[in-house]
Amino acid sequence: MGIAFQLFINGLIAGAIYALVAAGFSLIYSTCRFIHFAHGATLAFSAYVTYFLFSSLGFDFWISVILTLIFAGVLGWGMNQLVYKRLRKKKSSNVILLIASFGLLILLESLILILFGADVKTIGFLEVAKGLEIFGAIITPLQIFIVASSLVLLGLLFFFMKKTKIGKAMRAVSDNKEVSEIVGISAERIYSWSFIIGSVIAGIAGILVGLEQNLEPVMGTTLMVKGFTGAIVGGISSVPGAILGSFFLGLVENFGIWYLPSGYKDAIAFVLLFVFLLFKPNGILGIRKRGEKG
Amino acid sequence: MNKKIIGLILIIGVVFIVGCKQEEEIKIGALFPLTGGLSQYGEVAERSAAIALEEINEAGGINGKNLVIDFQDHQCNSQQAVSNFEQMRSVKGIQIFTSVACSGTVLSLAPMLEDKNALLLGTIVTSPKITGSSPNVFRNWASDDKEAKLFSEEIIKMDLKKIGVIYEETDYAKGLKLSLDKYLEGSGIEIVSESFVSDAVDVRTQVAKLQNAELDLLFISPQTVTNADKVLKQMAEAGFKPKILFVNDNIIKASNLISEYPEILEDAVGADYVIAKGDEALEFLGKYEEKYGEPCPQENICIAEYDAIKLLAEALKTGESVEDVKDYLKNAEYEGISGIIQFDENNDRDNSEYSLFKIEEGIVVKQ
Repeated sequence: MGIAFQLFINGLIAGAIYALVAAGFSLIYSTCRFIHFAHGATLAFSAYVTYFLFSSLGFDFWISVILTLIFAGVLGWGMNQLVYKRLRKKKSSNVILLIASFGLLILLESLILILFGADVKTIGFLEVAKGLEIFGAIITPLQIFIVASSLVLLGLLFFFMKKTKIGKAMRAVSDNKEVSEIVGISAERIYSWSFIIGSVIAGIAGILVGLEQNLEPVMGTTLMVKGFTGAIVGGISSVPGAILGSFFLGLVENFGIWYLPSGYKDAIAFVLLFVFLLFKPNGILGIRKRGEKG
Repeated sequence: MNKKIIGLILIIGVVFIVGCKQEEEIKIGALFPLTGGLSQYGEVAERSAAIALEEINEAGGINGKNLVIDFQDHQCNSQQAVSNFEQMRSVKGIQIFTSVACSGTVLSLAPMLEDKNALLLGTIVTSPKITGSSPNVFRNWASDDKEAKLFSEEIIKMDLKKIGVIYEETDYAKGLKLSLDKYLEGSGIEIVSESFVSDAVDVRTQVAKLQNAELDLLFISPQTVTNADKVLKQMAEAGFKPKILFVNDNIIKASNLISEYPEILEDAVGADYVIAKGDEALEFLGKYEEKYGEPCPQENICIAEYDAIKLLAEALKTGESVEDVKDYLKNAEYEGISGIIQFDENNDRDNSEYSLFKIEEGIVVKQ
């Protein structure tokens, strides 16, 4: 098995991290139908809030986690209420919303920079130690937890979208906003829920990524690019698709540099993105609407 | 109406006073990494420059004018360095610059310095590409080509068959790797190379490939301490302890990494540019400790940047134009606290050499 299994594990770890980003992002996209790039900043801000509560203020770790998730939900809800809702009221196009999301991303990253500085921060909850050996491959308990979290999230989101009242309402609004409102579903309420749930998922991602890596103000942008690529590959309008796409991306990147020079790792991700955009724009599990090709 | 006239007079007065004050000052720009992965270099350099500045102005300044340093943060980012430079040059009229760390920032500025009538004296900028990059770039530090040469001589002595290199895709880190390739060419030693971009999410697969390659030696060349931490953490998680480990000077200088990863870094060999510490240097280091309440953790950087500011001040005494400063530096034989500073025909500091170090029981020991 040797290195091949190690690369498989590495691909799973990277994919799980991308999936945590893509899941919340895709949930918001599937309901609101615009690309919320500031999702990456929610992730980064959440990681920094955990750092602030746990490492700076000395709060209990689990209390820090709960407070961070509340913060993430409120941040997402606030962005929707203060920016996107107002723009929607003015009948702004999705392009305007996309530009606004970039603005929010830069604003939030700048806020992180002002509040916490650009120096690298470490949450420091777990000590660095040799990982566990499974069939010759090395993986740390935290990485196992990250992979498991992504898979559990995949199941939970699938269940949530199919079985719960809000999930069904989200799908209805995503499918046809006008008809949903006629039958009594408030689209704005559903948008708010999408932002809250999506941002809490970004909060989970921020905490886990923050434990796995050092914190940097722009960490959200880098991860967002990968999460976005994973979501496109898997099908941006499908939450389970975005998660599967992210795992696929992680595996392709890591197996890709087995023989190719490792400097091409990012290039591999973007080639995959272009291939899907050109030949399968709806992604692996994306919903193809009537009349659409791909 | 009267209020408007009084307001106008006040504004004109303020502008006049500010204008007069500026006449009595000479400003130089300082491009330092004050935040980001090499902020520890920027911070100590800023403090050292401040001590030099204080001494210069206490001694009467530059021909009676006060010297002012405009510190800006390039974040070890070339775009940011260019933006800082443009802003200081065009808005504040600064023409003389000093910079610390990150060869890429100097290489981005080098092509525009001559056209824009500006000059830069760099400290701890090590890429061989800087040599001769512009007639207006001077380097008060050694080129890391010498570091690679030193490493290659050691490696050849060890009679190894296969070595690995993991490097960051930046001018400095990759430059060091390319120099090593150059000096090992024809030695019969196989080199396995892996790289990563600065914002890489992880380097696990690169580490796994190197771990699997059965290397006799591994050389780690990151651009920043942050990315050095990323590589070392993932090596620690993978349980990868190379038979022989060589590291670049960023790791040798990072005491936090040495204490964080003792198992990997114990016995690691590195090289650094060494500055002889005479009485004046020790006196300055004492002054630093007294002023900031802690010793300078990067003595070479502190001493070199202190000298850089003093050297520029001496140059500005001969004339404030770029040509005057350039002429002075070209012919300088300045007795700094780091020794005699002279520049060769490529504007690199003369007689600057690297020395080998080894990490023994968590302490960096000169070999």
